[in-house]
Amino acid sequence: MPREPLLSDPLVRPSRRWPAAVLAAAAVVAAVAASQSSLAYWNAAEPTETLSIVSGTAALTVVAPSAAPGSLVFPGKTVSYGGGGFANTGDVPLTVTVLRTDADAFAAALVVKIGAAPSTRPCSPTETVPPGGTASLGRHVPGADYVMCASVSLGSTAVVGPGATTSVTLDFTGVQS
Amino acid sequence: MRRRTPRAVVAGLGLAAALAVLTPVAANAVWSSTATAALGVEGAPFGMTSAAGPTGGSVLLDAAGGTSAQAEIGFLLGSLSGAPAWTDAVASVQVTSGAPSAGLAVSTAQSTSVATCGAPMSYTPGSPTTAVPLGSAGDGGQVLLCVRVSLTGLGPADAGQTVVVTVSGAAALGGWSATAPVIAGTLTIVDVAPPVVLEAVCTPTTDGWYVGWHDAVDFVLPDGEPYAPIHYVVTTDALVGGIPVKEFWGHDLAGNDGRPTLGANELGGLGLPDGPHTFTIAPAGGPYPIARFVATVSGDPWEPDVTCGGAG
Repeated sequence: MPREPLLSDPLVRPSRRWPAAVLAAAAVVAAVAASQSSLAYWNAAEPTETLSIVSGTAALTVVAPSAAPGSLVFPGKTVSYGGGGFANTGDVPLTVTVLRTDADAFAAALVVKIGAAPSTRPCSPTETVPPGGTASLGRHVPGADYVMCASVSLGSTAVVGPGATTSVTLDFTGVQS
Repeated sequence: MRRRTPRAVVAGLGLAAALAVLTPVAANAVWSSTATAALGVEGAPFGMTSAAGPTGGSVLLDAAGGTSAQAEIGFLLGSLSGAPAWTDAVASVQVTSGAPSAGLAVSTAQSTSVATCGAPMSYTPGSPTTAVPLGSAGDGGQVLLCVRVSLTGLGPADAGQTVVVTVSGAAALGGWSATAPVIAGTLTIVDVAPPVVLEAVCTPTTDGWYVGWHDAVDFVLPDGEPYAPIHYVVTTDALVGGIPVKEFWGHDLAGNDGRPTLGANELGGLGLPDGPHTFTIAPAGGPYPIARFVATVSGDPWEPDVTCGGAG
């Protein structure tokens, strides 16, 4: 007795010839498999140009200002420092701050002021840097080249310092901004 | 009835939490660079020096045979080389007299340009313990401080005594201060008039006037012991070279009874010009007190008239 179609979907139309088509396809697949050849995916490759990515830098260079030879400080006396400078030699804008880190008693009694200006302008030390404190020298774009000056004075009531020497230490930090 | 949290609120809270976690990660991405500069600072020297002045550390208080004497002694108070000028300085002067019975007066003067304690220094009265504000000096500059010591009422016992002047200095510049080493000078009292032990006595005689003297009181040595010299020499400044007018030997003039005399005739032949002359009576043999008197000679140079002018 012949078997009835199991599917009732009208899109599925059983045909009396499908067994032949199925057999043909299977034969093709079997032939391909027997030949051990790849699937018929085509592709092509073209090498791109070398792309180098170089990291930028944040770089701040500082030259300390100096006083004229023989400049001595005493109560009420202000010694001027010139010839210094700083430059943003990196690739990003930097906001520059100064931290004073000197610690001895003589240095602590000194009033230190710094200033910066473009090289075409006069420099005047106006920013006071207290012991352990900071001062800002502003934001500077890459390539900025500034002269820097400073002044050091001893308070009139200071009791330290006769014949003494010390060093005022200024730590400059440029932060990307 | 329980309300359920809307899904949108839950999603928003979750996003905020995620941002809170991610933000520090983003801060780590800020680049920075550091550099250090040092400013060399040198403090000026500051100090005060002291030294003897142009008078030296020892001078004489010469009474010149009198009972008063005056002398100056100088000190140099200076700053160190390279030091800034002080703004305040004071010298403390202390005068200690080895002649306590004598009157003592102290005056001071100072100068940064004058190198002597004489004129044109202008002295200001002070006291045996006095403070003198000093003028400014720096970089090795010096202030000459002169102290004038005046003594009055000196007695024989004061001869050889000393007056010590001690000077200390202090200077300041703002909060800085310095002191000078203490320095002292000595003034030695010399040539003090003797006590009035000899009195000139003019006595008219048939031979003329006689100048005599007697020891009103005993000579007293500085240590208080009585002294009876046996050799007196009388000289007068009218005779160059201190030629003795007369010498007396063997006279014990201790007490009030000795009355050696110098007759007018003894002044004759000495070539004394007319006029008053100071005669000095000195016991020989040591640095003992002397006495003086003034006599006036006139008339015949071989036998002049003598008039007593007083004793001193």
